[in-house]
Amino acid sequence: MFIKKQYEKPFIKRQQGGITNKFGRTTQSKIKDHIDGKNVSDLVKQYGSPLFVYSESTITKKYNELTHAFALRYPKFQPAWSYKTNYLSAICQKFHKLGSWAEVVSEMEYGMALKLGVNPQKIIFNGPFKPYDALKEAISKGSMVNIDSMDEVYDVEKIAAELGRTVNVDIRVNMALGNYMAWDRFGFNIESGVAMQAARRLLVGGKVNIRGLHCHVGTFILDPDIYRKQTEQLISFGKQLSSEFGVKIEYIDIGGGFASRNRLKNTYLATDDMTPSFNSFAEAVCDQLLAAFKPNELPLLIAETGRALIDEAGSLVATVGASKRLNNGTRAIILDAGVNLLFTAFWYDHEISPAVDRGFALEDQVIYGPLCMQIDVVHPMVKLPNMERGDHLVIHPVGAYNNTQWMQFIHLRPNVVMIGENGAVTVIREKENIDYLQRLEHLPE
Amino acid sequence: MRKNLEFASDAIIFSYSSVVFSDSRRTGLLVLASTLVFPVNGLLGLLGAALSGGIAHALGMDRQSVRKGAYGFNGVLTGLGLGYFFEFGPALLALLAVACIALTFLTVFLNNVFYYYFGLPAMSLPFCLAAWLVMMAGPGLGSLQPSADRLSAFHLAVGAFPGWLNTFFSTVGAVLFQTNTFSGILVSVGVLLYSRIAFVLLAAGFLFGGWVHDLFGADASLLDKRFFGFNHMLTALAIGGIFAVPGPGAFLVALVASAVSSLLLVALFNFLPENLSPLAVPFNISVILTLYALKLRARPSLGVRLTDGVLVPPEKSLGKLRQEIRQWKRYGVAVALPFYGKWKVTQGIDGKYTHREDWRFAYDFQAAGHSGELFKNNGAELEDYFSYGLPVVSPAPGKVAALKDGVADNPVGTVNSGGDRWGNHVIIEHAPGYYSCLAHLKNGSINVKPGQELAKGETVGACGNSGRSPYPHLHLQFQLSPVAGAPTYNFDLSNVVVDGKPRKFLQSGTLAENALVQNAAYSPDWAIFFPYAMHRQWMYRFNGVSETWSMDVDFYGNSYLVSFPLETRVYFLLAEGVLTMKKAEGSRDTGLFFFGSVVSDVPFVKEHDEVGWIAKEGADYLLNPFYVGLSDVFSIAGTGLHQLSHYRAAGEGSKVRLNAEIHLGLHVPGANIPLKRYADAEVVFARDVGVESVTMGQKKLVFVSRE
Repeated sequence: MFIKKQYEKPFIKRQQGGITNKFGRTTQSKIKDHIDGKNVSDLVKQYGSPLFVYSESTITKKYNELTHAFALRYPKFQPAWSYKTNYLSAICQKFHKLGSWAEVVSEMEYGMALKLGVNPQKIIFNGPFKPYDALKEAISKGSMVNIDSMDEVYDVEKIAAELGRTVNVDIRVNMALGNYMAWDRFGFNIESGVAMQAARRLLVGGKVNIRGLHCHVGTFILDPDIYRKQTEQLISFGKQLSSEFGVKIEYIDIGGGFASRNRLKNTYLATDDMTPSFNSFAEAVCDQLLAAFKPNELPLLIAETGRALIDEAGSLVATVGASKRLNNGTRAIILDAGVNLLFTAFWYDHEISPAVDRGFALEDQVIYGPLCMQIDVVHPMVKLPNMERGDHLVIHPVGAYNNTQWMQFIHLRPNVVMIGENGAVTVIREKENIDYLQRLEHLPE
Repeated sequence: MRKNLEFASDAIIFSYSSVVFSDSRRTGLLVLASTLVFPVNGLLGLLGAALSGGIAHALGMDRQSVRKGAYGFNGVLTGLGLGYFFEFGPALLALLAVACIALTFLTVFLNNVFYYYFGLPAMSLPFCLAAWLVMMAGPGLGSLQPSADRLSAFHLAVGAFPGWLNTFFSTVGAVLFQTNTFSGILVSVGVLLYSRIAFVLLAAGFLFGGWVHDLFGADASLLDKRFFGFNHMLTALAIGGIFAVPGPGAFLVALVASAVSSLLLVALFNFLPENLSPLAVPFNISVILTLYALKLRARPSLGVRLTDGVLVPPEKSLGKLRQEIRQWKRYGVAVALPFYGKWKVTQGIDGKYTHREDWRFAYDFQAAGHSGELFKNNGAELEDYFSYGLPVVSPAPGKVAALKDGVADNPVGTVNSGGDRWGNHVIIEHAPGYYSCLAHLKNGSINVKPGQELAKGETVGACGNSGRSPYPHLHLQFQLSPVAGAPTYNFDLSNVVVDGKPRKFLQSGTLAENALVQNAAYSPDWAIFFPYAMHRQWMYRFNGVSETWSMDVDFYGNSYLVSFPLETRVYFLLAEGVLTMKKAEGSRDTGLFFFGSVVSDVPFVKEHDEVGWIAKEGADYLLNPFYVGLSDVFSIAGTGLHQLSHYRAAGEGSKVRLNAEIHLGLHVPGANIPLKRYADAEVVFARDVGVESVTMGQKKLVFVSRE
């Protein structure tokens, strides 16, 4: 039988003989025409392009990996889903169904969690800006509030007086960890003694109990040793609180920050080699806790993992709108999805895979988005075959921080679908239209 | 004044009941009544009790022991015995007084020596020695006359009864030297009242001892005319139901002991001179020898279990045993899995690789990935194995007895079978003679010292690959001594969840090979679903009738729920993530009793989780006490009625739902015969409320409100 061969445009490729590629292996692009068993073109036909696609089974798999890694090392581990990473209701609800608590950093997120029916006592309220009313609501409902500043301390005391009873809080601390770009603006510093002062002020007042400690060291941490040092400091500070004030440490919240299999800009190793497994993080944290506390006094270990659980579950399907050759000879393609949908493209080089086979002749290309801004670059240089207008590409992993940081700029935001574990595809956020966009606007008379 | 009278009357009545191993007042009164068939003789018994108890009290002995009749019962026997062997008269009374003084000292001396050296009571040996003292002196005491023709003087029979029945009751009465049918009947009723099993044991001892006696061709008059058979009866009762928990094993040992008593009786009768009677010596020696041997068993089997030795009716020991079997197995030690998370049983009891012969009872565990795999990558490196380096914890509270560190971990696939075949290991003492051994640990990871006290779940080291271990795994066994390689005991694990569809909660039992197991979820949430507290009331409606529940703690620290107005008490224990409902007392018509009948042990189940299990327990909740008593008697033969329930618990957010299929079954050795299936039951626990509803067929209990 005669099969018509795919037409491949002829091209000229410069040969560099005798020199080995100094970056190791080439970034080959693999064809990705299916996501979770669903054909990409079919998905686009039904739901349009661009299209965010989430895989429920990947979420379950990553969640189980996380809990399993800690379960083997510590008997009381509780993940809390970080809403800011992705607060689409379907995603949050999935994590709660799997057994996760909620970690929120604003009034808005707190309301979202309540709306989903999360038990207030299983909501962790973090953040440097907590308006008085939101703080009061959270405290009166028994949520875990992590105090960030002295002004919050005064607010909490006022709330305790208004409620007429003692209230429970936890305090956020920070510490010197020797890592690049350490976060020092959140919580109270341990080394300078400010943390102890804040604790003393809270406890001496007699209206507030401290139940636990919280620390969040950063984002996309690739070194488990950071967590080892963090846990060490949390434990020693906790012991100090116990011996000086008789505080019983019931919670140790190590925050989030585990890296996902995404590629930070300007790194060159394969993500498999760079990203530590959940086991490495667990090992760094748990052994110290077991050594520091007796079996019946073990505190509840909380991790506010976000990125590492959701990033790999999300993909973005985009379509090639146009292509051109730039002045310097580089080929450029323009997609219907840009930094308006993919804010994380500013820090990460995502994996970009063609959804259709366009031959084996690869060329370095720059991928632009649909915005009329020079900085709207999805990927500065990726080896792709000659894609044609109308071809689809799959960008991965995009689950973390894109659906919360996407902009409604120039283009309306598209459909978000989730492929369930049973194979059914559901639209978990409909694409926007102009009425939706302008519903809250009013023209002056 | 009134308190003193109560004390005195108790001291006397319990002296009588102690003779038949009972602490029931009714039994004591009946036994006392039996001695008054010949009033003068009975008076001597009372005098003996009063004298020896009084002397003990005056000397300053422990008041509680005096009150419980510990000093009086030998006095009763001495008084009655002397009255049997000698003529009544002032000389006898004086002698009785002196004998009672000697008796008190003998009781203290013998009991203390026996407890110190053997851990056993001296029973009625003080009486035997005191009586012998008098009997030996007898021929030399001119004013003391041996009683004439006592064999017929004290013997009364009921004409209508067949000969063997008269002999039986007379032998029962002979325990107190009342060798007549009427006394025997009174004592028998007293025994029946406090325990049916005790009566059956008395009869068994009588029959078996008598049969052995005839088998040896011994003088039948020992049993027919002198009624020494009471030794065999008491032996069977002591071993079969008082000092050991009733059961087929204990019953067999009891029969053997009564055969020994039979031999001892004939031996003593022939050996002793005319003026000395064997009295109760065959019984005492036979029981003490048997008990001592049982206590020192190197490998105590569960076929014969010794009780605490406190006077408790056999049925109660049985009930306590059932509860204990359900909760912990040996020495009161509940064994948990010595690791965190879910591991796979890679070699079980009688495993084909190394768990054989003296080392049969052991488990090998390896941590599993969440698809059940044991290693990642290609398993060529130690670190590829999930188990390697994971924390290993103590399975129960104890003390580090011995340890060894410094053995290198083997490369994957090689073993170290030489002198270091146990590798790095920790041996923990949980009870005298009961040690656990955790072996093949990682080199340098052991972080405990010999003598260190360990809590349950405290880390001892990390899993490694040292010793006879080709792949990183953890070995757990229980053994007799703190030496690595000592022979192993069988043991059960408590509160384990086994993977499957549905997941199974194993309250207590052994694990199968290839099972994926983890400790039952620890969760403080159980207290939120069962928040009963003192001084608060919960309002319920049971089949249209209102009742209130409250919670309290008894003198011994046991928590219980109590209902009002009809009082039922249901004891419970909430520990280690498992809610256990224990026994019930009081009215059987309340909603609280209904709740207790449906629930046994419930592990905590998290939201969206589901666990199933089967529980087997006594039929006390389903049947009324008469049938339960009957069933208890059959426990001697290893059968009995029981309640078999198939449970399924599911977590549903703010509720935990428990469904139960309840059956009444008959247990025979090797099988369970289902007899009756009750309507399916459903219990719903709600957070911050406790029991929200219990439904079974037409019966319905609902929560109304709480304050």
